[in-house]
Amino acid sequence: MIFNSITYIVFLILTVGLYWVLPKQPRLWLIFLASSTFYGFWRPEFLIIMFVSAATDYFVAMRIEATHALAKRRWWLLLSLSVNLGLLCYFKYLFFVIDNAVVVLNLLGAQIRMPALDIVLPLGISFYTFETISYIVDVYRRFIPAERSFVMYGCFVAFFPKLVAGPILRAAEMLPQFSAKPIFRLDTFVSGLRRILFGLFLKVVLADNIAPLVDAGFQQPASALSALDVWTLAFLFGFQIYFDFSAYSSIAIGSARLMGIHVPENFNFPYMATSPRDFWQRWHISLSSWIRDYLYLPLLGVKVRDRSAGGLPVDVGVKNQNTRHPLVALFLTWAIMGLWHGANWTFVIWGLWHATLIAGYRILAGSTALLPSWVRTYGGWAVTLPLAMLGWIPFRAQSVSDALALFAKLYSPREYLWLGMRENTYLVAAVGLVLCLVAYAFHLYGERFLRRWLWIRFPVETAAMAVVVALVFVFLRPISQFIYFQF
Amino acid sequence: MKAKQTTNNKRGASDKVNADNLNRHKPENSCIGLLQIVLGCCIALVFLNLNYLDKKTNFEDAATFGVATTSVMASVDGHRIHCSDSRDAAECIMGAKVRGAERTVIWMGNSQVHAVNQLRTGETNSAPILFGRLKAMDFDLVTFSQPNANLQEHLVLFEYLRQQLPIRGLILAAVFDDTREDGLRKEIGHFLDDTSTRTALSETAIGSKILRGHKMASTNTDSDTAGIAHTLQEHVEQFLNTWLQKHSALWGARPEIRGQIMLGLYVWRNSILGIKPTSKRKVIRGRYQDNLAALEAILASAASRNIKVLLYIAPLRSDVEIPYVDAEYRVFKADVEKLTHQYGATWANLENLVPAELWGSKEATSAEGGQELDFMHFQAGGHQLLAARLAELVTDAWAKQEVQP
Repeated sequence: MIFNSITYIVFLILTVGLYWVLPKQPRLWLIFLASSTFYGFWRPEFLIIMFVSAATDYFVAMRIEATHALAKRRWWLLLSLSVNLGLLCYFKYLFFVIDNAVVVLNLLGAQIRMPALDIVLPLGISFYTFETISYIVDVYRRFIPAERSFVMYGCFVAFFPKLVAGPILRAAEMLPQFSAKPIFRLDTFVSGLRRILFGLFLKVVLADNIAPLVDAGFQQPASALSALDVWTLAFLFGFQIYFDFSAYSSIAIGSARLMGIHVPENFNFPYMATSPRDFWQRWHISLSSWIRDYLYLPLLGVKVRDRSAGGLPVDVGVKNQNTRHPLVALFLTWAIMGLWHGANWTFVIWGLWHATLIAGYRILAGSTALLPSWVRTYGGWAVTLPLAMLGWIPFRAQSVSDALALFAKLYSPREYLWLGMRENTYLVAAVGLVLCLVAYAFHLYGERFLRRWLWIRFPVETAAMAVVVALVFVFLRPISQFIYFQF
Repeated sequence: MKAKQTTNNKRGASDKVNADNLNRHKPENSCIGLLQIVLGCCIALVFLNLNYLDKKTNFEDAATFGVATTSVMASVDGHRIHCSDSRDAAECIMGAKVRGAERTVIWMGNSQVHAVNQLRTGETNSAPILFGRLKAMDFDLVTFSQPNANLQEHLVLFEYLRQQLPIRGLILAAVFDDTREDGLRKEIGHFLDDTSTRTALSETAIGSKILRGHKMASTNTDSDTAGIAHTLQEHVEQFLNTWLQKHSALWGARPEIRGQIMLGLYVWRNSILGIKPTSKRKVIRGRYQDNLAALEAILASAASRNIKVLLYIAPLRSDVEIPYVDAEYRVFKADVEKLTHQYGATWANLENLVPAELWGSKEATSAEGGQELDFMHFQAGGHQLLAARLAELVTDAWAKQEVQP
């Protein structure tokens, strides 16, 4: 089921209504069944795969907890990882691996044809696989106890607001919320409604109306685009994916709040980042913190001593400072992060692009520290924004050759002398940038101002709400999926 | 590697995020917040009801020329001889069959062909006049035109029509403005449901590109439920939509409101940026190349089937500075002429055919309102001139050469 539909609104009203009238145990069953229904509305048969993954971890976690011998616990952990990653690899990467193997073998002189494969990627598999992995690893690290109730654990894995595209949650932050008796709080409920409306606005009004311009631009061959077009498309897709993905997160957070459940933020004005590192503390926060805790730090050889919960607020200890090959770990992590998004080399390039930015930032960080803070802030933003936006070129391009052809445009001065797209494309990109700046300025100053002047606040916020509701009412239709559904 | 420092930094950022979360829903604001949502919903629904209910707008016409210009789609003996796209193509095809046409001429162009400025009673556009003139030469004319029709759309339409009718001649308008357009509108895209048309298109590079682009566009936006196509949710969504449309006129008016909002943004944009009919429209390289490739595909396809082609540079208002960059417009004319000669077609430059007094004005597409110069559409007198000149050209180029199967 996708959020930007009348079906979801009806589904949510029914689920939330029942949720608040049922006692604890049936309430958990309700979340479990509602989440299964939510997922089954797409392809019911793929529920089995999700439950195989969940059930494996449920049983293995209890075995790990009960086992004291380290070697045995490792074997159980390996079993769980094999099942989870095996499923992910089969559905997401098998075609990619075979395709590349065929290319390599043909280059070596073999005459092999690509076998016909008909594999449908189960929705949300990348997200729930990461969640189940984090659960089993946390149990292995003895950060959290194994969950005894399968329904409770099923609710954690399949909780419908975040099931298909995150935020990627940790068991430590979700299981206690499912086990506690929820208390209805009007403020939480109202903030949930607001977040849902705001998310729908971002998706159906902004992202879906930018999409045709982006599609038209990337459909053109590179020869038909100038360097200015490439910049424009990078920014435009940057805005589209931000509005689209943050819309999903916002609706997920809002839907959970309607049930009194707190889901951490996934975005924090990423295009206002003042450094590449800052960008990744603001963009897809739940993924970047997951990657750090379960991939990057282990690759560095850093032993994580305390549990990692709640997205970014992580408390890790370092056993020793002699970390292994930091640059190798950085680039390997980002290559894997790229591949997580999709089985295509374009995503690897995107990952390596960001690894390069972060590595560059680390090298220059010492020198820039000498600059005045306003230079670091504004200058950092002016450099980080275009670089982060350029990263979207390989992310959105159809192939590596397309991405490289588009990048090549940027280095030719002659390509800055003409324009190859409709005037509206540039206009919408400019409006998108202004919108982000205005939203950030409002976040910094406007909210404080309105809090002080209550007599202005009420009419202004009510009028804004009326505009949002009117536009969502008019534009609400499941004309497209969320971009992150494909990952 | 300072892992601890890194995590501390991240903790700082996340603390900010979490603090923001908590601040956003303070308990004292909850009742006011709920009231704002309820009031906001009421205001929104009342506003939409008052402003948009029971309106029906032709957005293509509204965006193109407004009420001062009128579309005329002629019929002869109760059968259409002038159509737009897949919505009415069957009527024109049926008409030609009823008339027993054996030598059909297709005329394809943009809104210049069907729109008449300051139309008065008894006046018409070129299509019925040319129909009468060609009938005398034993040709049966069927005209197709759409606002801002690009040459890729003409290619699709031509490949479709040539399989439906015994086409012996094609009259095609070349308009510089339309080389800035791209892709297929939904109503032209529907012709691709025809297998033969798809097969014919797939034989050329530009045809294949059109097919790819259409497939992508169909996947993305062909219907309101494209995002949930072939899922259980699609059925539920359609059921709920139907139910809501049945019980709420406002819900049913949503496509109209969407169009009105987009039209409003278009008018607003023109006002803010000072965009007028006289504003220069620059060539868009990729689209230009694709449209010229489509033109070449039409000419090649026609030549291989012994279909005569008359390609003309469309009339353009000449009493004021043209809204194109001179050099680009000259290149366009030269490119079209070169292609025409390359495929043995007839070329005519009719850009100065219609005198200044026969051009009109149109409703302004900016917030200031009023009338503004119309570079594309002329009055009925201009249509008479166009029909007469095309008839002469057909006589000279085809009839005298005895167009035969």
